[in-house]
Amino acid sequence: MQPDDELKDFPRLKQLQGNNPFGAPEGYFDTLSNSITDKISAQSNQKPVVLFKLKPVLIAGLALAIITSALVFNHLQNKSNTAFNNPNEKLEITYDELIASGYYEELDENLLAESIIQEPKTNSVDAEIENYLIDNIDESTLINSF
Amino acid sequence: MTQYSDSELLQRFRDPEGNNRHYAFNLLVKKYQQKIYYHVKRMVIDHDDANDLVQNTFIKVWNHLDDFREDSQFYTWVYRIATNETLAFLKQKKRRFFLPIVDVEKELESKLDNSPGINANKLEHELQKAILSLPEKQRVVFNLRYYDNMKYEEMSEVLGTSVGALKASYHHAATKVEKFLTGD
Repeated sequence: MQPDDELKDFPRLKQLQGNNPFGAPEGYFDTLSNSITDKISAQSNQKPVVLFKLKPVLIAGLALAIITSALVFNHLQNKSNTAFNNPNEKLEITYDELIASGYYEELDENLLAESIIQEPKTNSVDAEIENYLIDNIDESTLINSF
Repeated sequence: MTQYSDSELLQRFRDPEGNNRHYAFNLLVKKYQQKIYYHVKRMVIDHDDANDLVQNTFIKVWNHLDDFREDSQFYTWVYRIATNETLAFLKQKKRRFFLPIVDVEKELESKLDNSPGINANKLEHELQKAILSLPEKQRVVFNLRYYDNMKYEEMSEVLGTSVGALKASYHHAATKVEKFLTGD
């Protein structure tokens, strides 16, 4: 108990001393120790996560991921820079290459049709021979030769 | 039930045979649960918060009891853990909701008005409001002295503050509360 003179200057406090307005739910103190014991048992059944063992692995993994993404990013950037900086670099892709690459399904249907019906270009040597034969050999000789 | 002293219970807890560990701990909990609960509840007002804090306190007691060197009394050591838990909880509450101190006080006041576990007449209600207006550490000092009748030497073990500073702090707190009650 506090000595009387400690509250002699505080009459209201002295008047109210000894009252505890706070309560607890009924039966709370009968079950509290069991709740605590249950929590302690649950805690000791849990496998401890050893942070100091986990940390280096996490850090190494993170570092590896950062280095890999930096290398990939750098590589891609260099590649695109080279393509834009070198005007001789072939940027267009042919239909054959596209089809070979497996992306042919994404081609425009009209473009695909055009590419199919397009006449094959003859080269200049073939054209010269053809013109020579037309000019110098008559049709009957030509027919009889086959 | 036989009333064992704290040191007897600690001895049983540390018994190398290990058969009495849970039994001794249960008796320690039963011995101090009410004092610790009311000490915490006066600070946080809400029963659920007080319950969580009391359980955490005793779980910490269990986890560290083997390391307790008995430099202080067991009773003040438990109070110290409970007080630290409670102050950390209130600090976290302010941080989590970015609340200024005044808003935490208002929240506690509103719990005081609405909590079913409080049976206070008008004057006692005013007393609790006055206590809530004190800074947290001064509130702990006031409650330990006014409600728990704790000696200043024991309070010094709980709070790690000198007896002189605690006496001054209690006097300041009592003056503020009395003024609040008399409306000066």
